[in-house]
Amino acid sequence: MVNVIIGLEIHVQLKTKSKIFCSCPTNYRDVEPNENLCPTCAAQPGSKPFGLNKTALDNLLKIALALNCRIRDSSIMQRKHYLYPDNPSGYQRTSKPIGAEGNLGTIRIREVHIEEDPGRYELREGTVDYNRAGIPLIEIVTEPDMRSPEDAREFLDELSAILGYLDVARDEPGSMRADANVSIDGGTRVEVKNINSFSGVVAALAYEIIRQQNVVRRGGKVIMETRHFEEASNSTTTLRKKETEEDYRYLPDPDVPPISVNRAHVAELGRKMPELPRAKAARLSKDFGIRPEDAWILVAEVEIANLFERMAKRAIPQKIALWIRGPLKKQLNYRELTLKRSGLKEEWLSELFGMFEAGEVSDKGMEQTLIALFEKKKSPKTIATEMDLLMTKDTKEIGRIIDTVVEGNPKSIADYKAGNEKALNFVVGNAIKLLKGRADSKLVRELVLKKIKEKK
Amino acid sequence: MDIETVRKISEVARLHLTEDELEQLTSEMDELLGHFKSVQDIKPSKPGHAKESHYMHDLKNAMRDDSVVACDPEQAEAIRNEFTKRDGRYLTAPKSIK
Amino acid sequence: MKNPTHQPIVSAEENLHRKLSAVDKWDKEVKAFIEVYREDALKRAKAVDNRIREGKAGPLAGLVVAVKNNIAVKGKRLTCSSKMLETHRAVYNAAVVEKLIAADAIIVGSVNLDEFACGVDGTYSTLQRTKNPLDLERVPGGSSAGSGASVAAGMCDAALGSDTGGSVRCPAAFCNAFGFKPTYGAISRYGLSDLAMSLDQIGVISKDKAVMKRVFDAIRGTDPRDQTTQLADAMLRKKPAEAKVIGVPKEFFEGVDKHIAAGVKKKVKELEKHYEVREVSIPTLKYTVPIYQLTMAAEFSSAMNKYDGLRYGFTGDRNEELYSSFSKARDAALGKEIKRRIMIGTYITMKEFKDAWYSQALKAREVMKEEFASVMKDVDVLAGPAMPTGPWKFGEKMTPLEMYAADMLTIAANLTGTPAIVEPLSSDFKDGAIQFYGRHFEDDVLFGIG
Repeated sequence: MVNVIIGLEIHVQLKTKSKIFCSCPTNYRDVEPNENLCPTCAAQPGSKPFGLNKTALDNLLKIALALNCRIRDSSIMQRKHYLYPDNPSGYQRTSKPIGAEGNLGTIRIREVHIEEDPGRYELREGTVDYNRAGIPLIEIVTEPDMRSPEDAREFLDELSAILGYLDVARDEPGSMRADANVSIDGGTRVEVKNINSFSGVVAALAYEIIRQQNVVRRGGKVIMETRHFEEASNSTTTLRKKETEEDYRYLPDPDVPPISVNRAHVAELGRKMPELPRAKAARLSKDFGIRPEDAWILVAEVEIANLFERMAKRAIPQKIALWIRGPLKKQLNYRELTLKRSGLKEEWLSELFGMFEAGEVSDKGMEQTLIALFEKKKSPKTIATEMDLLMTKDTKEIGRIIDTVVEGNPKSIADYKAGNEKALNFVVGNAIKLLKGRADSKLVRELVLKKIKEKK
Repeated sequence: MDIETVRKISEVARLHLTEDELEQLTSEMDELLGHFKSVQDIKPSKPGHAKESHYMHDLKNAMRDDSVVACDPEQAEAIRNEFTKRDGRYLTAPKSIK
Repeated sequence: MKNPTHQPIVSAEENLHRKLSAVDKWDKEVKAFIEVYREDALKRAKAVDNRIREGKAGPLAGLVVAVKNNIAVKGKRLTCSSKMLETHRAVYNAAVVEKLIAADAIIVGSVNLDEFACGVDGTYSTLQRTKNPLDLERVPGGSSAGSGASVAAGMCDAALGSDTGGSVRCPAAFCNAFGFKPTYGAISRYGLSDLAMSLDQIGVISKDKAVMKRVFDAIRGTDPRDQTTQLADAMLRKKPAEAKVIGVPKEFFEGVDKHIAAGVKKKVKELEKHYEVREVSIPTLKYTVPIYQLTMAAEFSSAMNKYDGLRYGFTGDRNEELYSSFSKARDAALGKEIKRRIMIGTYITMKEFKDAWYSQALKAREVMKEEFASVMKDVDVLAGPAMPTGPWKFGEKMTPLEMYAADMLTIAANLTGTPAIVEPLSSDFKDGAIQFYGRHFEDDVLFGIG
């Protein structure tokens, strides 16, 4: 059993209209390369940072509060110096901690601070695009409290949920980047950079742990280095061996006056915080009597939790919980969509669930209607009718088809009477097929048996 | 000040200096810093309360509303035109992975 | 060349033509200008004359102003007198340039400086050597060499410079003109290429004190694009009392040429008729050069990090690996003094050395600020010589240390952020100049002395 120690540094882009120190737009993914530039974010000679983006700071404070951080009274912007193609000024503006000593579950948060995103530098092509330079980032630094990739996954899942609830972080590809620090059996710490997704973190950690174990097993020593995560192969490679750490020569930035945090303002932000996932899960479980593990799945996305809560007022909560975490989530996950992005209206989902509960559609019919709902986006009743998925209520028709099937399969009936269960399934299956699946299978089976008994 | 320290400084500063330049800088820096060393003699007014001067005039809270000013396409083009090497709208730098 | 006397502005065009004549006559020799914006200036002068006729003219209508070439003028070369920016053109106007234009001044061109404003006599420019119009064998002072020279030669009514350790006041004194550095944060640095962010200020040079004041009034004020100017509007609007007490720090007279010291003391004696004059002492003035050199170098090394060879036309070898491509480009395109300052600035901020050097310099600066604040409680202004010597001859060998020592009387105003004004003692530059320091944001007081 190997002892693993993991710490994470997570960078998330904050949701703002303009960049952190200038008024350029933040829609860097939607415009041509090197389009959203001004003297400040392009670090032209003579340019200076404008005031710090108020919304960026507020967004950061909300995240810090959600992570139970103590908010510091003041902070300053520092320059972190390094030359790299994505960094037009040759330094990155990054603040001293603004929130500190927080926690997310059992994982302690060391600190959170604000910094500016550099541009994009493609290592293989050598191309540089400064559009992204100046997007505000929050950096969340954890204590090395995680002990496995699963710990990291849980942590990131909850963090992801919280960010969704607060709606203060960007949620596009590349909006989140993480550096992972991992060591095994009290050995050297290796840093892995360039991880651009939460799932990548878990893969990177899994790979690194095995790699380090292999090094030790072969009699070698794990060297202190920075490794680069390769998404395509889910592996890490050496970027540059460093005997010593890079000296960033942090200096307070004379162009940016210190940030002094207004206590009243922070208290106000705290008051306006939405109910967060952990608390919501506890409340849903208690108020609606659903299982904690189901509640936890429901609260991962606030729209889903809200859907549940509203639907649960009119039907049995546990059933709704299972339906949401089962069939609905399955379809959302398959399409890699959040409920919010799916465009599915609550009234449709409510209607579909109601139809399902009332037996108006079978299991399969419900699933097919749900799948069609993503495309057609209208009343499920209409969809099911159009697709001929509604359970037939015509008892005469059912009776007729069962008569046909029973009459038409004398050998199977005889086999069944002789003790062959499978023969019955064959007959029932035929009836269901002829009914185009629009009759409840249990009912059909009952009626077939009844008919068989009648036929003596 | 010895030449190895000066060499290390030049690496941190990203300056490619010849051996001659390193030697000259070693003696220059040695002399200059010898004169500047006197700052270490200055005593703070309140003993044990040595404060570092970082900002002027008690400036604080330089905040800005989150509003966008559209970028000037001509200005962005002028900036791109001064990329030493270009590939269309991209600046090209040396590759890091061959 | 005689000192041109101030003539009243009849019309913008006429004034501009007079200045351009001086340029045509003298600048081949003096080499103050890097670029003369002849056509643009003529166009503007015509437009300004129209506005004068319509009664809509701005407060600087028709004044011809030269701009130090580390201040951005959109579309024009912004070289900072460095190979690194030899082909660079500014893509925007500095805040002060916007204000000059809005005030109807005529910007006649860009003037020479020491490379990246690092120098004390103009000789570190990589583009050209500017001469002192009052004695062509002598330096005009630096780093705003062209600003001082263009004013002295009558090529403009006023020139903008930048002052980090005396770079406006030195050329003013050497070129027998008035020079002014405002309170830190009174004028926006947006568009001024950084030397040391906590020390730099844009300043003005002119042969006419009233003109210098008018230019200052037009370019000062809060600018959201330079957050260190937050207080400018509010603070400068306050009506300060006039100066009543002049303090004369004895440290200001150490190491000063005898005749300059005598001249300043004589002037101070004259001022005793209207002011109470007291001798004061500011002990940290003894350390002013080291505190400045260390603080400035640290910030300068940071400011220079943007020059990586990937932009502004100066190319490194694209086939080199990243690290050497940066290092070689920077080495090839930056001058010796620049590299020296970068090396010192890097050294003193490195992890191993920071506590002993940079931290100490910052603490020393704080002590100086406290001493100044304490002394200025009882006096309204400080007086002393502007420069310890007059302008030296080209070729007079000066070691870096000697150059740095020349700043010793001007530096403290940058370290403490106080405003300072320089006034010629006579019409002969050899007599030297007197300098007054004021309190924060009491810039206007300095214009009213004497």
